[in-house]
Amino acid sequence: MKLVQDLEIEMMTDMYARLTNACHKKCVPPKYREPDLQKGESVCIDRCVAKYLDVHEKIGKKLTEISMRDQDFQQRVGAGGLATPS
Amino acid sequence: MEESSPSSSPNRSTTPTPPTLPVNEDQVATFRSFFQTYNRISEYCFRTCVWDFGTPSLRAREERCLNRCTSHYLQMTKEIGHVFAEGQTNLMLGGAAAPPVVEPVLGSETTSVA
Repeated sequence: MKLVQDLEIEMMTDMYARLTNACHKKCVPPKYREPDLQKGESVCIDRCVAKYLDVHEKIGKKLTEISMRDQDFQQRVGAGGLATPS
Repeated sequence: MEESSPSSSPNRSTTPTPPTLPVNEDQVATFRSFFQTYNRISEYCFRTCVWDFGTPSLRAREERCLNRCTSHYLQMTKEIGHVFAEGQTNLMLGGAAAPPVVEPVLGSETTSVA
């Protein structure tokens, strides 16, 4: 169980780093006129994080769907020939 | 089904449930590889497909792009895997594509002449 938790923490840490990178690229132009975050940048980052998490969830569902389909296909093939679904 | 905006659901789980829990090192390695691919796809497809930050929710066009991007990336990974495996097989069998292997000859050290 601890292995699963460690893996999940590792995955979330990696996801967080990628999210930070992506939203920085999207929302913060490399022109630093002042040290504080501007209001527009703040709002953009808020929406960017929301969208990234949404994207992450949707892609997760799609990957699960694809891997289930592959498993079904492999089971059907393994059970003896290509059985067509009824 | 509860509906909440993406930014106001702090307890939303974003990780897909794996079919079986890893219990040994092989499964842990497989699981880790799956998660790495998952994170890479998320980042790449987000950068490519999401461009409108005027709204906190995804546009229909962005969602369509994400679906296509995910399928494309997975097919590309499979294709790369096949070609890579073939290339490795050729290398091991010493095929035409294999670079010449230069092995050092022991006991043939000669003194260098200046």
